[in-house]
Amino acid sequence: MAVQPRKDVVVIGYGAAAGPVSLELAQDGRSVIVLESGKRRTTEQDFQRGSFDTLRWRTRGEMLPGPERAPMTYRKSEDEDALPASYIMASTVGGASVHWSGQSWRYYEDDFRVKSRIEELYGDTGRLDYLQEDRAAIQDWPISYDEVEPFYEKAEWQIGIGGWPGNIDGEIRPVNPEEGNPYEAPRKRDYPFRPLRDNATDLTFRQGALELGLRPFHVPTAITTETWTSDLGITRPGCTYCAFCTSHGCWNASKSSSLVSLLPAAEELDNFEIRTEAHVIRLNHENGRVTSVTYVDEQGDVHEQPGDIFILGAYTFQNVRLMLHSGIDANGQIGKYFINRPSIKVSATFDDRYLNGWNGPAVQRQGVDDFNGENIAERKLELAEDAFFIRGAFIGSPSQRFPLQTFGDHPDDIRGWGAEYKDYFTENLNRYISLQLLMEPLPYEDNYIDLDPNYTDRFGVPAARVTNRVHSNEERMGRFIHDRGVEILEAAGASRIWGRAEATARPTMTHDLGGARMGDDPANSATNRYCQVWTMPNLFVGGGAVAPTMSGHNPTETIWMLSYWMSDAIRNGKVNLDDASDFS
Amino acid sequence: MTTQQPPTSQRPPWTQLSRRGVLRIGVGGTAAAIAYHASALDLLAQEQQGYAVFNVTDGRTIEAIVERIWPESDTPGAVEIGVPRYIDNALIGAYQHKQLDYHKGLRNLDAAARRMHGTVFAALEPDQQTALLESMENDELDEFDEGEGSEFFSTIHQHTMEGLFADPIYGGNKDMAAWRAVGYPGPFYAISEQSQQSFEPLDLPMQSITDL
Ligand SMILES: Cc1cc2nc3c(=O)[nH]c(=O)nc-3n(C[C@H](O)[C@H](O)[C@H](O)COP(=O)(O)OP(=O)(O)OC[C@H]3O[C@@H](n4cnc5c(N)ncnc54)[C@H](O)[C@@H]3O)c2cc1C
Ligand code: SF4
Repeated sequence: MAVQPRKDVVVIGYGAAAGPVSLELAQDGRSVIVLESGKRRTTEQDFQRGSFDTLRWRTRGEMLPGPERAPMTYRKSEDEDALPASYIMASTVGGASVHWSGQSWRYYEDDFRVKSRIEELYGDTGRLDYLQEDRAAIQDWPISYDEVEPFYEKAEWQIGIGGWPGNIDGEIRPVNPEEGNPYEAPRKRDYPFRPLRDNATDLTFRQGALELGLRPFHVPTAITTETWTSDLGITRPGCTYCAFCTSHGCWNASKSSSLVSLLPAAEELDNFEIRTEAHVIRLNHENGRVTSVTYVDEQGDVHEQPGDIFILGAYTFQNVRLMLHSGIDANGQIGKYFINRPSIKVSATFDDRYLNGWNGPAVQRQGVDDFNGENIAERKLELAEDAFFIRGAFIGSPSQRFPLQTFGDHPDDIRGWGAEYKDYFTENLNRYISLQLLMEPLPYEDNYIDLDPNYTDRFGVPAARVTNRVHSNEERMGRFIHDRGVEILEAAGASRIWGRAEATARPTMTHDLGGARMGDDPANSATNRYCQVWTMPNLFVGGGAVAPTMSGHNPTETIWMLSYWMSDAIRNGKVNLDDASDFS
Repeated sequence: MTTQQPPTSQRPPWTQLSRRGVLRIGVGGTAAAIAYHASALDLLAQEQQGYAVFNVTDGRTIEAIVERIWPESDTPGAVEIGVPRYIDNALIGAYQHKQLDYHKGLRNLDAAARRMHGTVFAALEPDQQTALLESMENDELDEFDEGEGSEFFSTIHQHTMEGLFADPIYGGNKDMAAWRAVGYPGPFYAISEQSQQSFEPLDLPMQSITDL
């Protein structure tokens, strides 16, 4: 085993979470080495011509890690045997931020304090007992929106996230009263550029939402819509709406990612290095500190990389798996409170118009937040006892409806093959819409990640085993949100609507949070407010694993924010690398 | 609510093989342009000569299956579109690990056909084939072990859809016929605001990755 020269900072994985912190700590003058398991794919070589291939990137998943590197198993509950499952992740420089969709949000103020908020709203109503029966494990974040707001701003202006502001410094929708999200938390600085334009699908959704008196807006996205120079001085061209977007790398470098927004700035620094096809298999530790990591290179040779500070940026499952496999779990908190987006469905076709849903990227999208968070608290209190739920969902109108990714969704009374199906699909591909229904699931005691006793990867590291099911709150929310989706499409003039109101936990979603949640107390959390592991103070967890709750929005802007937030704490000595309980 | 058929005049222009489409293919100088107009039977014979993984029997069975999944109507069926060719290609490439599943599954399906109708699957009437596939999809055939019938069906179904709707560079979707049928023109570097905000069928030229 070859021992590599010691570095100040060792970063494991280079996806969304690793991007900001490795740049920030290198800018601070520290030597930074990133060990990334995947290959280096670039805009010029891999995406400019190669991206226009849904079979290659989406169906066959060339950028996915596969079970040799990132094996997963899934079971609903402890009484079942877990079976191999395919979760959509990434194995490439830039991680899933390369083939993600780019829908980007700041969390709401209340998203950081769900527990307190529901106590305020419903504590006296006696409505919350079912949550206890289900062993919900809701906890406030140890940080507040006001504290982290500057780091959201930094993410937007360095990485590139555009939108219509809904709220600048408390003033609601000052820029364009038609387009901003009126529920947004206050921002100090506007977005750096505007979001994507509306397409026929969006205009249709918007029409339905307005008809119902809702407040639709065009979603904020990490996609440049004009030639734009970031606060890091990186210039990228605006999106051409090619639509080979989600599951694909962007041919035009318009879709923001750690790869195109941050890595070029980091690589200008001599003290930054990224080593690709370096797959970390263990964190070595002694006397409560990580001393080095062990990794395998593309030849299969094993190396040891020593360092002072270690940052996990290998995605929720690998972060948890590496910690557990390395015996880092002195307080029994690693792997607990895993939260995964449940799924329901609402789809429709329109006889009176074509939507040509393939002709724009997935996140060219109108949406409503009228049912998200606690925006309809009063209405929920009017629901029957067994229909009441807390939290809510974003509802939006995605595009990128290529035939190869849409063929499986059709009305229930049509069998998915044969003459009738062919007629259906031939007439309706271009009349089709299927909503995005981003429900906020809660954390529970019986949803968690641990090591699988039966499956390993090819290096002998056990698979990450997910135990996860939906509970009453998600079931009730699913039925309610499904019906709201149906209403919007009816109001928009849909001819035929179908779907599924029963929420399921599907091991395919790309929002996997929790597993190493942050908190105030080592007895019920894995890290402190700066993502620093309580029991291993020179180890920091990047990414969504630290989230105590999920929100009804996509997580990645918050993941980027947390990476800046953590960097700031390390740079400015707010943390003590020998004692995680000693911070300011 | 039911779906009403749009009048033919409203259908996207590429659902009919336009003269421009033929010419474009013709310019490529490939045999594909001719094959497009050849009858399904001719094609069948032609295809059978060239499979890498399927023997003659398996080749016939796979052709019969995919044609039931996406049958010929006023637009070509899966055989004419080259789906068997796509699957054959995939089984020597990316899906090598599935070769055995195919071999076993096709044999089991033939055995079921013989038991129920006294002859191989490919020789049955279309309705009989459809019924048998339905039984396979519903795990009702004793020839398959528990759950294997539905699994095999979903594999072939998935691969059929790939052979129809993946880019022609993978050997299926011949002359972009499946894309043309459903009204998808293929990949573009850029899509205009006008196209995006249209509620009508779009008149964009058909193209595949090789045209980019
Ligand atoms: C198809 C898709 C669409 C999405 N759309 C959205 C969206 O619209 N909005 C949104 O907010 N989020 C979206 N997401 C989610 C988003 O991509 C993730 O939240 C985000 O990328 C997670 O960041 P991460 O750094 O934790 O992990 P990743 O970005 O996945 O990065 C992890 C990196 O670590 C590497 N790695 C893993 N294991 C090891 C190891 N042992 N050693 C070394 N390196 C390792 C991997 O190769 C990878 O590069 C989407 C995801 C997908 C897949
Ligand atoms: S739609 Fe825009 S952001 Fe997405 S891949 Fe195409 S050019 Fe890039």
